[in-house]
Amino acid sequence: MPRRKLDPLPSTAFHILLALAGGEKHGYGIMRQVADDTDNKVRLGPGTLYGSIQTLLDAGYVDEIGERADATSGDERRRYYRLSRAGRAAVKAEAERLAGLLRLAKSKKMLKGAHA
Amino acid sequence: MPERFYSLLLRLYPRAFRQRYADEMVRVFCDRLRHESAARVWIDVLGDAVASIPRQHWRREPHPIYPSSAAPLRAAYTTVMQAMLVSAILGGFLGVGLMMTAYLGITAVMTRFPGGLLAVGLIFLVWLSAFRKARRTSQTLKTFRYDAGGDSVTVASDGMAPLTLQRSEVTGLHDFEKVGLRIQTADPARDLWVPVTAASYPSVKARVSEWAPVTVTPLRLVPVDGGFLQLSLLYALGLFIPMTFAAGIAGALLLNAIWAMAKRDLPARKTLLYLGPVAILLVRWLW
Repeated sequence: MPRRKLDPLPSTAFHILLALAGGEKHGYGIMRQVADDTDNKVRLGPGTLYGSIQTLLDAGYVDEIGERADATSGDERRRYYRLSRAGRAAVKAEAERLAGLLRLAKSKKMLKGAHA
Repeated sequence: MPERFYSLLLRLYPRAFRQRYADEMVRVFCDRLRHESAARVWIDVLGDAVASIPRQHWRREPHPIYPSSAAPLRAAYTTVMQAMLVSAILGGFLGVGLMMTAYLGITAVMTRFPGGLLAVGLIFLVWLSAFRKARRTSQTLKTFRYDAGGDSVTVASDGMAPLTLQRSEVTGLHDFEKVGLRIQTADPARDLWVPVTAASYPSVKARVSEWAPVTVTPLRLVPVDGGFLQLSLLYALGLFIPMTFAAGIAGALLLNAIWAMAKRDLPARKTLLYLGPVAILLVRWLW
C-alpha cells in the first residue's frame, strides 16, 4: 500500500504502532495493549487489527519476525510483529502532528480542565 | 464449536487475506473467549466483520501477483488457465454478453426502466475494474528481476523479500507459449512464474530447462506478451466476461423482480424463482 495512505497515520495504525513501541507482540498482545493503553475505549476487532497490520507491513512500518510459542498460552505458536525504524519515525511524526494540533486548540482556548 | 462458527464467518474475507491471517484471527478469537464473556466477544467480532469485510474487499492489493505469502504469480497462472478455458467458448460468452448488455440498454431506454440502465452501468463498472487490474498487473510485471545462476533461480522486486528456488525443489516446467514459464515445485504456493516480458526470460528458461522436462502448452487463441492491451484482453476474456455475463443475468433478474414487486405484479413463488439464481451466484462468489 502506498505510504501516502498512511499520512496522516490513521488512529488504528497509530494505536498499533504505539502498542509495538513497548516491544514485539503477537496479534492478541497488540489488541490487549491497545485496550489497556486506552482504558478499554479502543477495542480492535480481529479483522480491523490484521487489516491494519497488513497495511503497516506493506508500508514497512512493522516487521514480521516469525512464529514462536507464547509463554502465557502454552505451546501455541504465534506470529510476532515489531516496530521498524520507519514505523518509529512515523509514530514520532504523527505524535508531533497531534501535539501541534493540541497547541492550536489550546491557543484557541478550546480545551478545558487538565488538558488546558 | 464457537471457533468453527467464527471460521465460517472468516470465509467472507477475501481469499488472500484469509490465507494469510485466518489462523491468527481464530487464535485471537479463542484468546478473547478465554478472558471475556462470549456475548461480548461475538458482538465485537460481528461488528468488526461488518466494517472490515467490505474494507478488505475494496482494498487494492499492493502487489496483485506476488503476495507477501511468497506465492509468486499464482494469480497470473490462474488467469492464464481461465483465459485458455474461455478461449474455447469465447464466441458464445462474448456474443451473449454483448447482446445482453445492448438488450438491457435498449429496453431500459424504451421502457423507461431505470434499473436496466443501472445494470448496464454495473457491467461497464466491472469492465473498468478489469482494465484497472490489467494496468496494475502490467506495471507490476515490469518490476520483477529474475536471476538464474548455479543451482537456483531467484525472483526479486522492490520492497519484497526475494524468493529463491533451488534446483532440487523443481519438479517440472510448464511453458505457456507467448505468456511465460511456470517453474513447478511440490508446493504449488512456491511455484515460480517467469513472464516472457522479463528481460532475463531466455537465460532463465535455458538454465532451468536443464533441470526438468518441459511441457509446452500452445496458446494461439490468446496471444499475450505482457503489454497493457494484451493483459486487458487476457483479464477480460479469462475472468470478467463470464463474471459480467453472470452478474448481468443476475442483475437483470433481480431488478425485474424488484420492479414487478413494486408494481405488485409478481406472485411470491415467482419472486423466489427470480431471486434463486442471485442467491446461488452470491454464495458461489463468497465461497
